[in-house]
Amino acid sequence: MEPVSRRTFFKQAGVAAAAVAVAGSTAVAPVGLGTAMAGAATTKDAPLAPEENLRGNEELVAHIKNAHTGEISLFVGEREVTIHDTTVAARLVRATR
Amino acid sequence: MSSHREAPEIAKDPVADSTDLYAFISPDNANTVTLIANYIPLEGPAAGPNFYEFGDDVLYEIHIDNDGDGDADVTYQFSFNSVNTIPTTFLYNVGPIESLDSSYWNRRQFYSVTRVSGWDRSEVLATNLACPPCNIGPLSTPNYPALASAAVHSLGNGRQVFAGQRAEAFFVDLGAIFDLGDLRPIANLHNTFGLPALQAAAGVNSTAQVNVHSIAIQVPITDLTKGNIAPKNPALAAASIGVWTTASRRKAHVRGDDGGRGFDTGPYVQVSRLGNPLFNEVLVPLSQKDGWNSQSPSGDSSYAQGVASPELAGLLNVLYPGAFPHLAAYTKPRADLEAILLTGIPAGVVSPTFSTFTGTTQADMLRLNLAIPAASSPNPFGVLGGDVAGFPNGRRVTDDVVTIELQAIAGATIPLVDPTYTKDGAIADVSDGVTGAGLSLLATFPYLGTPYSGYNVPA
Repeated sequence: MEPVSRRTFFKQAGVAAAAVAVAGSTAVAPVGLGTAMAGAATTKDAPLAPEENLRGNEELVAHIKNAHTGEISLFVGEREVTIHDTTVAARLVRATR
Repeated sequence: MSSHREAPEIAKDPVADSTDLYAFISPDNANTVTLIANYIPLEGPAAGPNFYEFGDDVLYEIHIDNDGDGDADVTYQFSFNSVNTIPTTFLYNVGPIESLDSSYWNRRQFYSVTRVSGWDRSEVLATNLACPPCNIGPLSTPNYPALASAAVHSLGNGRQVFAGQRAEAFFVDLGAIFDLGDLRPIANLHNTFGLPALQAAAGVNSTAQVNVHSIAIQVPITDLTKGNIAPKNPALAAASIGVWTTASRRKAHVRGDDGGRGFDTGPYVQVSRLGNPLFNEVLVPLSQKDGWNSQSPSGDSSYAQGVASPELAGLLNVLYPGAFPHLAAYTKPRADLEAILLTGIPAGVVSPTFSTFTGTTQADMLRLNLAIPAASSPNPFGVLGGDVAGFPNGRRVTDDVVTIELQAIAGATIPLVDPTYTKDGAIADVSDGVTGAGLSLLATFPYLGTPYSGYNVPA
């Protein structure tokens, strides 16, 4: 997991590939977050606990940079979090078929 | 142009497209610096029904480097919010706008100012500051100067700010320059590619009678320096700062299903940058311009080759055969341009005490020596004209940066670093032939003139 602050994003390369938008608390994105959060107590298929939900009107967008390596960027608030999860990537890709 | 539409992608995103940056010791307030960043190129004054405004989804910033590393030490951030106060009308205004809280004014914009110093230490200086309307005409904005004056806001501690429409002060013969460099004053010397010869002529100002949107902030010198000192010795590197502006958008945007804006999320991504005028426009290859816009000045060594060996200098020899024999024969890296644009000019080059040097880090920043007072009679040719308070020591709204940079690229500044070089005789005529004469400017902050109204322009 790689958080990116406002002052460090300038040095990062841009991205351009297929993006999957996950607005609000749809079934797919929370599973990915739950899987990837370091130290998270939940198993990957467990429902979110109330305190784990997105904050207020916060939106989350997941961008699969590489489906085979499972590299996914999560955009939420003013942060970008990169995870590597081949299972989540595969689920998202298959959900579009 | 200075930076108007200078890169392919940002040219399609006008509200985030920086056009000009100015930084100078305030001529009427010697202990302060005025910083002006202009956005939205070439606003036609008759813009109804939707007049120009800043982007609510754009983060505008003016950065200051005060330790020479090309990274920001002080940043002023500006974020905007637009509102419709009369939801039922299709009009921008339904009567004369005679004050910034006019009930006749429908589409309004407000902004916040935040100062960031050090590494992420933020201080909100103000919120909910009103922008003036655009200048529409004698019925809608009958006393525009009064509206603009009311939109100059004090931020306390000697700071003041303005954000809104202003008259374009940049002047350039864009039509001629980008017609294969046929500078009208010396068009008779152009090779014309075998086409009929051109006649020498006066320049034509391509940016006449258009407007821009300006973000102007005036702050004490001590707001900008390391250790909050007021530099007294201009020869010291600590006396000079580097300035640049950026615009950033959130990394992800999802359009709304109902035709609304949708939403933005993720970190801000820089999409526009401007330090020295014409740097990205003239010295960076087209294929790299949008990439340059996304970078910090601290990484500009990767663009230094375009400065050390500028393409335009080589083109001058092709386009004007025989006019620049000394420039054509000069094969050394252009240390003069590297100093002017990338490191600042060290003390001893122009004079023992003049310097804009900030350090050896190559970074495109508009450098301003804070220990050199404003000139009582500014020369638009700045340092080239013997006025050390002008460009490339900062940039004033009257500086003729196009002619200065054209002449510098044509070799006018090589003798500063290489006394063996003799300037070509044609140098004195190298110009786009446009001057700032006739520009309507203000004597006080925010200095840029009243924007042209849509009723009067075009006439």
